[in-house]
Amino acid sequence: MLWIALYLPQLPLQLAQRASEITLPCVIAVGSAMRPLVFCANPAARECGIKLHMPVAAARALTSELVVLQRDDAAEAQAIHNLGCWAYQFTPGIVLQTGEGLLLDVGSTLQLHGGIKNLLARIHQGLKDIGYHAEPGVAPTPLAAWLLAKARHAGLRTRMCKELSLVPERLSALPLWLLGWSDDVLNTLQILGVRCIGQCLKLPRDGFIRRFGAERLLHLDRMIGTAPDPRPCFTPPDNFASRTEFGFDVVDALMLLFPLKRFLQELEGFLRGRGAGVQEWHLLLDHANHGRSRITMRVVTPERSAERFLALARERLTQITLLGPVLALGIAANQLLTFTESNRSFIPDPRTHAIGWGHLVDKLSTRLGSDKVYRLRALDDHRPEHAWKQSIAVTTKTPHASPLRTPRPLWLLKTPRTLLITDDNPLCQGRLRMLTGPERIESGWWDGKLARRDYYVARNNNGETFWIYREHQRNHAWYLHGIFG
Amino acid sequence: MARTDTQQALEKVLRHPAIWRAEQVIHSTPGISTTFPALDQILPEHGWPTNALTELLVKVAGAGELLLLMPALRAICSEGRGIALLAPPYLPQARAWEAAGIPLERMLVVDAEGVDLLWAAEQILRSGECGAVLVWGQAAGRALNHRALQRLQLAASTGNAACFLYRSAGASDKPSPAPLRIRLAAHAGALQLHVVKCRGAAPAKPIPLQLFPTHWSEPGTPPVADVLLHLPVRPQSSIA
Repeated sequence: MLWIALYLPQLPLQLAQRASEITLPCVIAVGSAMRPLVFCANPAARECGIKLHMPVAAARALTSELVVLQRDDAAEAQAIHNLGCWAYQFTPGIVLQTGEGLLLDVGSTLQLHGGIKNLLARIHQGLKDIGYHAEPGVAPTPLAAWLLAKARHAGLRTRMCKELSLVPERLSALPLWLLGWSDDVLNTLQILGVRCIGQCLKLPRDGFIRRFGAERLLHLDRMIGTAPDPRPCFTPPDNFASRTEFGFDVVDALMLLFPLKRFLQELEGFLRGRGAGVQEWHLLLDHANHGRSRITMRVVTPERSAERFLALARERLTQITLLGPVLALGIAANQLLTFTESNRSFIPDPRTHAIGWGHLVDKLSTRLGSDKVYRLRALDDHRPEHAWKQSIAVTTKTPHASPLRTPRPLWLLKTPRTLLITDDNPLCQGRLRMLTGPERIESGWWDGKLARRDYYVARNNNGETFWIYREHQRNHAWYLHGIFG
Repeated sequence: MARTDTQQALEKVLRHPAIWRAEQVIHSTPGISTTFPALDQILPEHGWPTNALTELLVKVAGAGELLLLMPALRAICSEGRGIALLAPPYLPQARAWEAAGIPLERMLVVDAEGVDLLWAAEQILRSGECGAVLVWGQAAGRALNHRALQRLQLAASTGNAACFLYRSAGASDKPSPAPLRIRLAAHAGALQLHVVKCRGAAPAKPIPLQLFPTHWSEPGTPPVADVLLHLPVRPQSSIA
């Protein structure tokens, strides 16, 4: 067993800055509305002399341009939940510490990620990309890992601990307040001359239980691994949603790209963990006075690359005009589909070709509209106007329609054009001369679109070759239906 | 001393991309055979250029301007690359293209106009997914200026794809960066190819190609029901 604790004491501040960096002094306030206290402060605020737990009124006195934001418990819980989804790519054993961070059981996946150093570096970079910073702690028990992460945040010297036997030694010098026990317990211990965890562990067990209760001893036992500490694991859901609010009105659509990049990387981590991809995701924009608008982005094959999604979103955002100033941005993906990662190889592989083709189609249809970029499928019908269909799916092999026995022009008019007639001869930019025909097509009595036509190949004096037909039942009118390009 | 200086200066001038030297024509990459010996003989790459813009200036539609490219498109598809039709003037008849030997799953159709059309053409050319891109320039309207043509030519050369641009015959007077420009006209049931511009010397005489079944051009032939245009066709060609 090996656990990585990710402790995020600055989470409220990081959430506030996900959409854009705040350069002004900024604090997050907690407590009653009458007397709010500073919960965390950004470096600019700390430079002004603002300390944690000081009243917000006192902080305001220190600097006039202070930004005060209320702590949002629901948003923090959602953020930790999304982080759990994201971290699922590293290990299936994830425990959420509500409002504070995550615990990852990485014992079984260390080999996969090339050792603890690589894994920590990957997690650190990944968190940075999605807009977070966490203090890591590594230990064989979850409580010890958590303690090390907290100690690291407090600026104490810690070392990661990979052997269970080393846990008491590594923890021994750490102060008792890290345990999070109540003040009177800590005071009593201090009076007894117990100042660090090592001393606490050496106290007689029965006396310790009598004085401080069995659950405190169990806490210590779980921490050093002598008592079992089972944790229920987090299971990621089948959908993904993330949202952030801007502190100001966004009028330029391209300004949305910065937070969007973070969201898409979060989504990519989640999809990687689930071994899935999505074909459709939504961009949700909250407007100042127009409610909410939704932009749906689609790709041809299931995809999860944040880079590609971002490129498509950029293409789309340059096209649209915003309904109004944007206050908040969110993304949502609901349908997870199986995703097959492509291997790169020197040998040409039809599958990689299909992927490149899919990327191209996505790019074109994002800008032009999905009905403007298509492929054709031949259908088995004698009537030319019913013998085709638009389709875009990448892998569909077109079923073989029965072979043609008569010439067909490469071009077809969507609606046949009526031809003028002189001396019983149809005209199309000049007098037409029949080259072959007639070929009778009589079909479609079953669907009410009966066609009874005699087709001819005809050429005019300019040398243009046409495919024309004559209604052989109704009005005997002549129509132009195709062109031999 | 002075001589080497002049030589160096001369070489510098000759390195200018606008200057074509006779030996470069010979060393250029072979094109895709048009399968018409008379045409292959004349074209400097012995076929359609594979990484360049080719302008086809069409006087009338329906003279076989697509049939002209069919053998090359078939060859491209059989190599596993795709083809793209951009802003086709009419609906491509799926069964006819299939019968002509083009697998429909390799054929992409894009409807766009103006700047979007040129953008799409450039994207497809640069992606390298398609071996041939057929663009109908009429839909681009005024956006199809000299600069746009230059961009298409550049995109075709970077994506190693052949770009065929159909334009109206009126454009033949205007300068173009396309290395190959051919004017197409119909005459006596045959397609007449006037090479307006090509690398090397352009032939003065037009090349007639018989793309349709021969009996179509002879008036008075009795109508035949089932031995007609069985594509793929190997049309006969002859030099006038």
